[in-house]
Amino acid sequence: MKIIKSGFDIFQQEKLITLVSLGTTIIVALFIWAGFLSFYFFNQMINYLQERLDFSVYFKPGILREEISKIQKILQNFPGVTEVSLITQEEALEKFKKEAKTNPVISRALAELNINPLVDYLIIRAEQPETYPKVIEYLEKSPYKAYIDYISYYANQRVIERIISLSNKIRAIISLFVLLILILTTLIIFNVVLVSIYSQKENIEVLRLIGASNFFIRGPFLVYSFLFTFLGYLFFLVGLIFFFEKTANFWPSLISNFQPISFLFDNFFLLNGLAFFIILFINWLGTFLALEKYLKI
Amino acid sequence: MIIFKNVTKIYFPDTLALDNISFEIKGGEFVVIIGRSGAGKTTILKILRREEDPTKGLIYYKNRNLLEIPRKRLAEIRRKIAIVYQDFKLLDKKTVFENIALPLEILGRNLSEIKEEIFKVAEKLKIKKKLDQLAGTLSGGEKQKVCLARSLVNKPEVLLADEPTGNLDPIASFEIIEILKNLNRNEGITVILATHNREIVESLKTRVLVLNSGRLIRDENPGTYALL
Repeated sequence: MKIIKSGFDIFQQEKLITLVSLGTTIIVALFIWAGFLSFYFFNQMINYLQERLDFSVYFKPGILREEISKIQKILQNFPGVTEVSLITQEEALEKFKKEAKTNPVISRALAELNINPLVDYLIIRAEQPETYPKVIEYLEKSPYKAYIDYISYYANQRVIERIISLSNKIRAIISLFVLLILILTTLIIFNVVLVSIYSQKENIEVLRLIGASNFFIRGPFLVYSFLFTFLGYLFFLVGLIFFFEKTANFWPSLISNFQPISFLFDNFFLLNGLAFFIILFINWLGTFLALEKYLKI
Repeated sequence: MIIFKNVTKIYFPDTLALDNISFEIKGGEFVVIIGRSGAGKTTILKILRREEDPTKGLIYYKNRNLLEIPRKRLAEIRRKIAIVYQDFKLLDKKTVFENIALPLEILGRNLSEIKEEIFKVAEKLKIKKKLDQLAGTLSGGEKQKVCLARSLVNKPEVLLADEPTGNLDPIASFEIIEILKNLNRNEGITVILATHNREIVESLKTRVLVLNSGRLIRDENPGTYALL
């Protein structure tokens, strides 16, 4: 109880330091949320690109549909593959006709042709673009290779590889950005903690000289850090909600379907808990390290 | 009770503060350490409370090697070997009561016990009326009394006084010395007083250790153990 009360005492007595600490918490929370949003946006962008990636496996004319269904089932169970759709010869023609509606030359050619020139094919979609080469390798080595007429992957290979490389680079940049934010926030917090503990230097010295244990000296500072981190984060959160409310119409133009308020409340405990504990952890670590110097007396 | 055996202290890089000092202090003694500024008086007191470690030598407190006590347990020793300083080291923004209460709060005593103990000590040192006053608003003599009260609530076995009259006028100085004498005489507390004030030394008529540039140049009663 005494330790908690002493923590509140520092909070009340050191008004200027408390104000600076609250401000720092708000700035640091802002940085961390900038990291969260960047991470989310870039991930959405990568997903958007990846979702548009797929390849098709065209079968030779005359291959039985049961055989194609077998291959479809095998590929559906392939690790990392999310969707395998069978487009029958008939469906392929219908689709082609629809797409060629506006092109009179093709429409006329199709009308003159009495047979369906298209074949059955499978469209394969994977969670990660890195899965595609593995699927191709499997198909190339499988006994079903003889059924396959053409694989569109080879035509799209360069695009897929570029997207793989781009998404990896973007991930690395985001990780670097997040790391940079963490380093920056750690430095800011450490400096403020050092100043706040320096302002209490004499009190610490007195406590030490009259026989206070390390726990008795550290305790109030840990309580104090918790207090300003909690209050600072609360102020930030209120500001963030207000900001998201006021800019709700802007965000969807940046990333389609992005509703900031829903994003905030859907991930409320995860994101805010994470941000709060990151700040608190750095504050406590800073307090712990800064106090070490004075506890050596 | 306290034995210093061949203690040397060199501050980094090469300042010799104590040079091969040995002495023994028995329980209940009143010892004055005298010497000019920089003679090593404060260093002896700091070493006794393990605020500093000696470069060489041994220190025993009640037959325990002080240097073998782990840092985590030093707080216990510091409660037994209390100290008052020339610059008081009070928390000026706290009241006299809060300042004196600190050592008891550290020990986890409840409020009624704390009050009882503080009133007893305040009565003894005649500062009862000052208990609600902020420490920063007191006079030098009053501050030193509060320091003494803060030390006494822990019921120390040894009281170190590092130039306790250094910032006080002669009347207040005399009052503090009288309190120290009474604590030694009536409560059996071992008192080690470091001072450079010759008048005080002469008025005390007690054992005197004379330090000069870190060397112990005179001790009327060095004790047998220290000389072994």
